[in-house]
Amino acid sequence: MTKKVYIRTFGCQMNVHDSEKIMGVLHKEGYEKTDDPRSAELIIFNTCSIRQKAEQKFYSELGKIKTWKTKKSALTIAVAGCIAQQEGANIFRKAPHVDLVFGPQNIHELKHLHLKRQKRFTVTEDNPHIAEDDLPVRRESGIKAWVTIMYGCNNFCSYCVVPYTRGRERSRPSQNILKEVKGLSDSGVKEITLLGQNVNSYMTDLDFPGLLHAINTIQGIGRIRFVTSHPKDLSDTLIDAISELNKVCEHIHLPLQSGSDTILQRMNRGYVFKEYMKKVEKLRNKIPGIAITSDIIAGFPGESDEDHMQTIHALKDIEFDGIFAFNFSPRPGTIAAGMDDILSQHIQSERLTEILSCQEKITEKKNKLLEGTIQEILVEEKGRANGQQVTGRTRTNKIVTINSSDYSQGNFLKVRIVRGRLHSLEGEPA
Amino acid sequence: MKISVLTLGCKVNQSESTVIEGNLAENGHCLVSLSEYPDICIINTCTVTAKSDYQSRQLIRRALRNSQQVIVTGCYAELNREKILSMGETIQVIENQYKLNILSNGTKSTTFNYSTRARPYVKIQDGCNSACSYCIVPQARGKSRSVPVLDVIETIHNFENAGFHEVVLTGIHIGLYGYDLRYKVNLSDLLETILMKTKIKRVRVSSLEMNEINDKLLEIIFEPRICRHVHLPLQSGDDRILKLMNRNYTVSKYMDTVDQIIKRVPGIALGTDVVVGFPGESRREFYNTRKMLEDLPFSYFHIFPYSIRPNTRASQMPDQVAPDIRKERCSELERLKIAKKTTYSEMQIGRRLDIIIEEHDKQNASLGTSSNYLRVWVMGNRHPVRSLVPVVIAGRENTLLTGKPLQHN
Repeated sequence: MTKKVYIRTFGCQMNVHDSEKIMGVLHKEGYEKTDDPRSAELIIFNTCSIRQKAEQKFYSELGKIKTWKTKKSALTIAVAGCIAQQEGANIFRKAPHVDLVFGPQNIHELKHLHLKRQKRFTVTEDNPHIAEDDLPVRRESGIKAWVTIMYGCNNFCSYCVVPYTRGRERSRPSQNILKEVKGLSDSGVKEITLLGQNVNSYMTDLDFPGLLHAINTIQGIGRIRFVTSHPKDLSDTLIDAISELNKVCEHIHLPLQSGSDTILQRMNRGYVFKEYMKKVEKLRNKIPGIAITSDIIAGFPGESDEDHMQTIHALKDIEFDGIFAFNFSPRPGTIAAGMDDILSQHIQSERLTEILSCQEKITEKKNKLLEGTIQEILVEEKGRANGQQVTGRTRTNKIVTINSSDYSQGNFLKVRIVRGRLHSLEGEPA
Repeated sequence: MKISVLTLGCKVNQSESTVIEGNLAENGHCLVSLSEYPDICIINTCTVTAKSDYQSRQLIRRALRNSQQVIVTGCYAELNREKILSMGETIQVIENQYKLNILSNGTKSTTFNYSTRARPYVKIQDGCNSACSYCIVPQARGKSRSVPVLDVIETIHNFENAGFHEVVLTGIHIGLYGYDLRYKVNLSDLLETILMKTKIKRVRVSSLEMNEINDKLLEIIFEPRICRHVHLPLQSGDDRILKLMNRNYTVSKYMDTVDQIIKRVPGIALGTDVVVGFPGESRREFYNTRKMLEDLPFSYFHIFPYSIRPNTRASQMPDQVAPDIRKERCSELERLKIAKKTTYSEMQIGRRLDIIIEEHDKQNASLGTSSNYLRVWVMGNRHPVRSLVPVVIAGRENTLLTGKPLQHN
């Protein structure tokens, strides 16, 4: 009989894709996925520690199922992801009902799980073979797929926990990546997103632009996306590659984090605002219509009103297509967590609100400008509004809904944008 | 310095002259006509027929009279260096491969937004790997070489930013595009990239060989931003002659391809070239060509009397057709040529076409070209050159149409 596993995923796309890998391994072990945690024999929390909030949420959800364990002795509870990596066996102290703890580099340890069912099993070792040893993947979507191209990060931004939880940068061999993408293409996948904490520093026999060129030749794939690019490593050859490769989408996520050089330096970002701006100009020059999105941290330790205003000015000058903005969150073990000028929650939230409302106007304006234009979307889902709508994303990663159900998933469709809203566009078949 | 650039021949040559002129202008030179007594005259010659050879020599002689110094480049110069040098002491010959940077040392630029045309040419490829038995071009231009995708995109961006609405992709054999690039691509990939990465309103694909037409390409040609226009050289409507020409297709295959195109993109402008009086072409074989031109839905065609080109296989063939018979057969096609064009033009009346304005007559009337390659007079006030004016076709005067603008005026 097949065993059932429920998996709850927090955090970034990397984590979402890790969950697909976890499912890939478990599928081989005879597990099927369920959406009902109560029917599961194995419950996995794939956790995120990027911010305190995500961590609190996880602990609260973990606490809620404590009593299940006493009712169902066969239930195994596992903690994966970045909190697992960070806390290791400490998790057993905080939550004694947990059975397994494994880090993002140790997903392969789920092989032969039935043999390892002795209680309290922790694996958080550095895995030197992570880039070379590929795991099976059970993907959520048949149209879009994530493909990891590198693991870890060497940048040590002062606020960021990722280098501690995911280890040093390691690039997957290009042959393995190409083979995976070809396989995905054969199974009908239309869009792939290359994943890495810092894709620009991908380096094997190919550099990142070279990898894009190679993937661009694979038949069947219609779109190539990638996240995330570190601004300091965004090279001219990458800009050229986006400009000359038909499948590479005109969108780049380029986290700015702050508009103040003082803060950027304290963040250890390795660039000043002017350099960032130059890259934005170059991108827009070479790739007209490119969408640029960003991450912003509000209220970094020691951020003055002046620093904050520079971020606001930066948003106005650059006019991003969209941003993800968050309050600063001290992460244990990072340099920023130890800074002595951490701002009050109140100031942080005030600044975050200002950042978000400033950007909202810009996003809405940019979306309005698209009214009347023709865009290509990849039809993703049907179903909202009684199945009378389909949605898809433009190459610039904007969501478009159209009031028609005649289009099936996985098709590329030309639409005319009739309305630009804050969070999405409304289109009609062109 | 005052410099004059004179150009003969194909679109590639014309696009190269544009780049030469752009580079000269950027280097501070003043571009003038030959009648303004330039310091230097650059002549970009052609050798595709005996007539182009003659015109090239004629232009060189004229330049020698009006200009201090004469620089000759292009395909005629490539193959007749000594002959040209003997024409005058002030003559300098420059090979095709160095022509773009004549008198512009240091500027490496091959991409420009400079154009004297409202629908600028963008050279994407040079050279040819085919061996059509009558053709001298591979001798002068060598094997196929492609312009990198990035440079093509940048050139189009430049034109786009300068307010142009159409680019014409040109090359000696553009169906070979991309096979020689480090990252192999093909013409479909290039077109797709242009559609994705630029906002230019219209892209015209100049000439395609029928063996290079495939589903993917037809799919892209169907895109509204690609001009409704395919030029598909036929050369002869007789299988024996096609074989002697080394064209690698048969009449029936050509007809199938035309059929596919017409089915896929109804109303498309379809143009062709024919060579008349190829060695050994019988009267009956010529009629086969004429029949093809009659039967297929061509909107226009170009007629070339066969011209013997040195060191080509056809030049060694027996039974060369007498020049006056070649001429006679050409003139036999003239009437058909007008009839075909008229029929296609007639079909446009009442249709909506987008016209890119190219020139004005003395009365300030605007003349331009449509996506389906028709010349149209646009009514109303003077419309600026390069502007795109949507019109409804109101009538026809000979082979020219008149259009009434949809908005304004």
